[in-house]
Amino acid sequence: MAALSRSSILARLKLADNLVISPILADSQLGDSSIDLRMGTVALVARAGGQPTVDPAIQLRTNNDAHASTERREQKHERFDVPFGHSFLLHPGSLLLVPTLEWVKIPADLQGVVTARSSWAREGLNIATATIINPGYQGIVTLELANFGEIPIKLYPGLRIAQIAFYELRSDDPAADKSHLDRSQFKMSFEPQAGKIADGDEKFLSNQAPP
Amino acid sequence: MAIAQEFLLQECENLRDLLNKTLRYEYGSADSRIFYDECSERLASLEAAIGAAADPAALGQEGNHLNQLANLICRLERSSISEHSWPFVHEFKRIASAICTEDTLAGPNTPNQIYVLADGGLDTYRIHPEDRRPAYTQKRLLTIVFPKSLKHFVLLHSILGHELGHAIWRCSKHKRDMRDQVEKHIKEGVFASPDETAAHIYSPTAPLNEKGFLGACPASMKQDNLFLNYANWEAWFEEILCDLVGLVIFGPSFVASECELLTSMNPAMTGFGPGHPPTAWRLNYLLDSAKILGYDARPPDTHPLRADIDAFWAHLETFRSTDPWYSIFTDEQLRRALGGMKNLFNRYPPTEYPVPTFERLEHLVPMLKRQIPPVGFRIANDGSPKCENVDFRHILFSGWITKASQPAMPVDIINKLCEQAIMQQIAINISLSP
Amino acid sequence: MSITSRYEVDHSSSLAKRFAGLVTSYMNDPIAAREPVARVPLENLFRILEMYRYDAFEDEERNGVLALEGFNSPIPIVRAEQSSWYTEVLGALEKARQDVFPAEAKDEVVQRLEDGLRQLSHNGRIEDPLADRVRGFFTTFAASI
Repeated sequence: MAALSRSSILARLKLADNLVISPILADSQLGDSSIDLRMGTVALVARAGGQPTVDPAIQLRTNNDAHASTERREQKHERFDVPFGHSFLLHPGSLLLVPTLEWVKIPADLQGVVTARSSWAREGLNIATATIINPGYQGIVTLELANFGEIPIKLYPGLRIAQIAFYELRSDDPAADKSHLDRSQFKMSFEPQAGKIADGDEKFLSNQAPP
Repeated sequence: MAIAQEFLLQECENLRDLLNKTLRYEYGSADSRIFYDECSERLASLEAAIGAAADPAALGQEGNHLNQLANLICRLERSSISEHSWPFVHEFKRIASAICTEDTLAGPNTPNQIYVLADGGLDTYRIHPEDRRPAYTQKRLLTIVFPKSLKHFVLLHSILGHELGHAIWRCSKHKRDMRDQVEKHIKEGVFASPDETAAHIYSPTAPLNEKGFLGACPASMKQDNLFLNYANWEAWFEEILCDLVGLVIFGPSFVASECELLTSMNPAMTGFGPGHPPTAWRLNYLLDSAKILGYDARPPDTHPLRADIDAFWAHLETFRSTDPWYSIFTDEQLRRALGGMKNLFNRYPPTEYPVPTFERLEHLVPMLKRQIPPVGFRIANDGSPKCENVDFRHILFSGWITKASQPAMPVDIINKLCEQAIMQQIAINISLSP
Repeated sequence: MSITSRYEVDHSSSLAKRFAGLVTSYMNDPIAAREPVARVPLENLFRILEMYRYDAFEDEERNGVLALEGFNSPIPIVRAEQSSWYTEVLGALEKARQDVFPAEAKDEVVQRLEDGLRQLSHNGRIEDPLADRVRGFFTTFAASI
């Protein structure tokens, strides 16, 4: 799995219907093997009073209850519009979900990996997890920002806070991989969303003794 | 009177408390200072007047004003929830601030203070310019209302061009120009007078469905009392004026949004209201006006976007009513009225819609078709990123073209991509600024 | 349902009269003239002058572009009366102009009065000889309502 160099990234960006990172506001965003990503204009903060605990079993139990599941989803985060020129304060120990300013499209033969920029990491700002952007993805990238420092950090939309690198994928069955991607033609991400932690793991959330 | 005065003075205290509590909200895109300072000054002025009121009649007036101020403060709280598209509002405010200006104590061309909130259903698209008659107001507030359910539907927000017309008509210093250069051309022919218009409405040549509408109206409503008791002819004129304003400000997107929204509210496109002329008249003169202004220009046959642009205009033409009864203005009337409007708006850039080049559309529409927010960005041949300014109204027009030519693409996706683009374009414009 | 209702009576003339009366008191009290609360009456008078300059007194609210309206009842007659809220104000403006600025063009008169109001708001005083004419104008205006 080879990482793309700057020239390879640019070659892909120039092709129609291939890699898209839009817009890139400055030449200096293009690194040797990555592109800097900027903070977008929405901030989602977990509400302290929104839920008593992060419990996938509760999520599972309430999935079929429209009121409970919707209430849980809508109250979990406080959502803020943060226009350019305004700022958002990230307190120590807090987790913030923000979109990137850039719209990202990953072609079928690439994978994107998002990490924090080291300059911000030294201030205590971190991308909580190294985010993998799957082939076929299109939309903004959700960044989970955490403040590991001792003092609050003021964040401004438009600031470069992360970087994305690209890795070529090896495919043993390109047709099967492609058909898997085509199922989600108009699925795209416009805003950060809360994760679905219970989906697919229902059997491990049951109170019954294992067989 | 003493009891009433004491009560009202206590109410002033209550309102002060209410106003302070509005600052417990985060305002995000809204600016709470403008509103807070203005309401504080109004309250102080009213409180002084209540304390000094010499008779019950004066006290009664002050009580009414206090009530109005309470409603205004409560409106502030609703605006804090920010259920509107701030990127669209950001761009729209640039236009509104440029054209909705007055000479004031502060100096010439003082923009109105603009406030935005989201409310109810489809028919809540509105701009409330505050009254100019004497009141306990200092700065005039211009409140823009969006339907909450259409938060992200930026293509439809083009309809606010019409509402801006009402605000412009209520700027004292634009009134004279609008009268001299626009009104006199509209008030000719069918619209020369209430009698002429009523005669046309009740004409034996009116289409059957319009006659059917008249038949379903109150039996007491007739030609000779239509504009005395049932409809307001000056209001009809103002609606026509505002339709043309919307077109000159938002271009083809305005025609598209008006066609879609008016016919959604009135699918039969029949009839009229006390304050609004017949829907079908409006769509016809808008389509005619777009042609006169050259907005429907086509690129050469071989141009990659020729078919898409043809599809857009062909779709809009389906809203035209073909019976001659529906065409109430001559081309010459419209040409003179639109020319007068452009003369006025030219003095207040960026009010007038800048017609895009086909090259611009050729950049934006394919981006949208590829499900990328259409902005002024590309990778140049030498591999460098290139950004350029793009008017948000061109983003909207590219959205409408895509909607007409890509029926498989969901409408909410097109709208969200365009909203994303408007936001990104603001970032591009910031990066390009000196 | 509201606990009470009343026909809306427009009070624009009496408010305009009160505000005009304040001009004289502010001219005698420069400190009060520069207070934020003084901007309310002065701005209102400025606005009236602008409407006068451009013959732009019409002020009724209109419904939104998509407002659904019916013909359930005839338009109330009071709407016609509300549209003439400015008749008395306009008459008083004309009288004051004729008395204090005879034979001068309306635009010129309005400009000078507005300059005077700006000076009063910003500096607490109006320069001579404009001061006497501003005082005279608004005194006549108030008395004519």
